[in-house]
Amino acid sequence: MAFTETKIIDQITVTENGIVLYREATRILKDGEQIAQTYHRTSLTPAQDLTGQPANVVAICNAAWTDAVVAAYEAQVAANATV
Amino acid sequence: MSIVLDGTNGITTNAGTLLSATTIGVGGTTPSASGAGVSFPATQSASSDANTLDDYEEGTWTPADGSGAGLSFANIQAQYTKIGRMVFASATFDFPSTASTATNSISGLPFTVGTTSGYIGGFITNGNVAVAVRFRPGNNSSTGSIRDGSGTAQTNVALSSGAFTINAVYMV
Repeated sequence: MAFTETKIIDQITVTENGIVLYREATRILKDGEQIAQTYHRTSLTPAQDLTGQPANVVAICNAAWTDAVVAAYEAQVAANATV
Repeated sequence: MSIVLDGTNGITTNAGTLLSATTIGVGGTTPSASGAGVSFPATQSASSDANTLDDYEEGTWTPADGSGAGLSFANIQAQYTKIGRMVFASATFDFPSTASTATNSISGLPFTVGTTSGYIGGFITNGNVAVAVRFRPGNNSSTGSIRDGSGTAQTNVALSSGAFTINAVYMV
């Protein structure tokens, strides 16, 4: 009987306003068959520091976060601050 | 008793009820091997029907500084549960010592907050800073801010060295 643990990013979502959300699934396998799974979610806002983030997530952020997207998001944040 | 399987009605029983000793997977999901309950697809299959529960997920998340001041929180414990369109997210963390006058921003919420402001809210159940009373998730974002009783978002320095447990409840 062998137990193994794997971690994989099983979901990456980009919202219309440029927020990137990803989910890391930790799977416990017993003799190759999954017996348990837990999730950890992370969300990243346009222009956020990407230090330490997975390479595939960074690539998506860099593609999604155009100057226009960043400017629009910053304007939205400013508007949210007053409500 | 009989059990009928067909392509139109799925599974029916002549008694009108369905019994599972352990778990049931919906949407083609492999039922969980542990406990007893309903297993939902790993990716939500959204239903437009008002009486259909179409998603359940629980996990952890990491609150981070979104103010731009480069602050690092410590002793983080954060969990979430999503039931249908509602998200319940909580986090305990220590705010660092800082002189930053930027408005605080807690980023990393596990799901994007919906766009309708009436359907979000948050509160602080533990904290040692008197001006920190509310946690306000931002519309259409994955961040929120710690606010005082009148709703004013606090500066980082006002929360310096504080210890907090924040709770957010919102619709996606």
